[in-house]
Amino acid sequence: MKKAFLAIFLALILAVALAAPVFAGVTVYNGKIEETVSPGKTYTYTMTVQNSADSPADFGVEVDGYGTSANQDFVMLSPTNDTSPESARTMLTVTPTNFHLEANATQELTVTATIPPGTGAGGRYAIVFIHTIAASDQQVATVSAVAARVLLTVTGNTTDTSTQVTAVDPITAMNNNTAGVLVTVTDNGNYYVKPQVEATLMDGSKIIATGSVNTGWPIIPGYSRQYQVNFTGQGTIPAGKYQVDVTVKDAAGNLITSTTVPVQFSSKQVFQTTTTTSGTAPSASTITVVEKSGANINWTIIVVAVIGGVIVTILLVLVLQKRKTS
Amino acid sequence: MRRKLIIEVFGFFCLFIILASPILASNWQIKNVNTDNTGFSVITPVSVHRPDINYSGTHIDVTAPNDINLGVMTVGGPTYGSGICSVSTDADTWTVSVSDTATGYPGQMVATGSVYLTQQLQIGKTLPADHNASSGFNYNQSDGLNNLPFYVSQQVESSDSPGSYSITITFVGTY
Repeated sequence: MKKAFLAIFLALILAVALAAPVFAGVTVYNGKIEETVSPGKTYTYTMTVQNSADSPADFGVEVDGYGTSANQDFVMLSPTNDTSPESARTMLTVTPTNFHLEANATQELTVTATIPPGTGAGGRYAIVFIHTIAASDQQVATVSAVAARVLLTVTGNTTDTSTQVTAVDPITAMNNNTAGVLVTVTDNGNYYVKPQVEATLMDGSKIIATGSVNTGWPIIPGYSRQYQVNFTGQGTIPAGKYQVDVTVKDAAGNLITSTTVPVQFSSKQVFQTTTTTSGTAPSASTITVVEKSGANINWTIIVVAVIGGVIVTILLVLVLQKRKTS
Repeated sequence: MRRKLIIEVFGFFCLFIILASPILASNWQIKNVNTDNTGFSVITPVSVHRPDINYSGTHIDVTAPNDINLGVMTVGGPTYGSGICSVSTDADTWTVSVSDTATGYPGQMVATGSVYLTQQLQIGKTLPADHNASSGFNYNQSDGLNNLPFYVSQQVESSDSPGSYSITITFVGTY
């Protein structure tokens, strides 16, 4: 009987120990390439991939096309869908493409960009997709991944940042939302644009409310992005027809394009009185290494576990003693 | 008798500590996020500074939630699940795109062959999860870095075939 209790006890403890969830985690260092390149030359870059989980994992790496969608700052495109003349996908190779990493182990990736002779000036874009490989029997499996963006600028004289405001749709104030506009911006050039979108709601020549958005993310040539610009102003306006002045500036604040469109609100509109600006421009970062460590012990857990262990052990021994004496 | 009791207590206690050490020594932090009606408690990885490791360059770490078991899904009300995503980065601007990137039946739980559930899996960072898994949603710096909530829900129609269904959700970070 004593052995049976002991076996059950051991099994329970082992079950608890082994039931600790396994997380899939990936860290990528230097996971962005933004360089000026020349036709006919080859460039090599290095990224470091680390398995940041506490268990071994398999990894895969692919080169995909890079685009944006109305609601996504980046979209990975399969070769079939990557039809942009500004794609750098076919210029890139990466090695290795499959590897296994123990917990916290690292693997260097070599990304080689071969710029064909005669490549025209402008931007070329792609994504190096680094991901864990799902190995799960659960219904909803998860994969950790990093999309390392590649933004190459081919030297030349014809960098084109033509940008167009292709739609302006009013957002009616309702519930806790303020009035605003959805502005769709399309990059028609051959170089990415990081737009600052400003919108001014006008009643004739009178400024009623203003708003701006600067996400810091680029629109890739040939693609569009939709921005929600919330108006900031005082008070309310009645239902009716108004106009919206929209300006798009580049990251340096230079005007790229502007337009004025009529909008109609079918109900009274209420405005926020505080400024809302989303996002900041990405910039080079200093080296700050954040790393998982087994040395990080949560003392609360230890105290609770020790107390629990003492209680469980005493109870178990008392039961065993009682059974032995009876 | 008393001595034997003490020895047994001490022995069991040591055994408990030894066998529980994988949990105690690892870098998991138990967090109860049972603030919704899903009844899930989750464990969150903790990142700490390691100055002894000298990697260079801007980095991003994406730790997806652990795999989710929805159990037996029944016709009618949706079946819920939840988890926690974690991001570590020194980039000023980052985003993590969450979606089903499969090309076959994007957003839908699939059984063997071409059998799939009629309704897409719903995913989101709030309840009720209200994004089709095919289009997904994003986390970014306004959401913070750690303890990013992740919810899923699956509606089963009466026309759906019984079977074992699964889906893979990919958490793609970039900066």
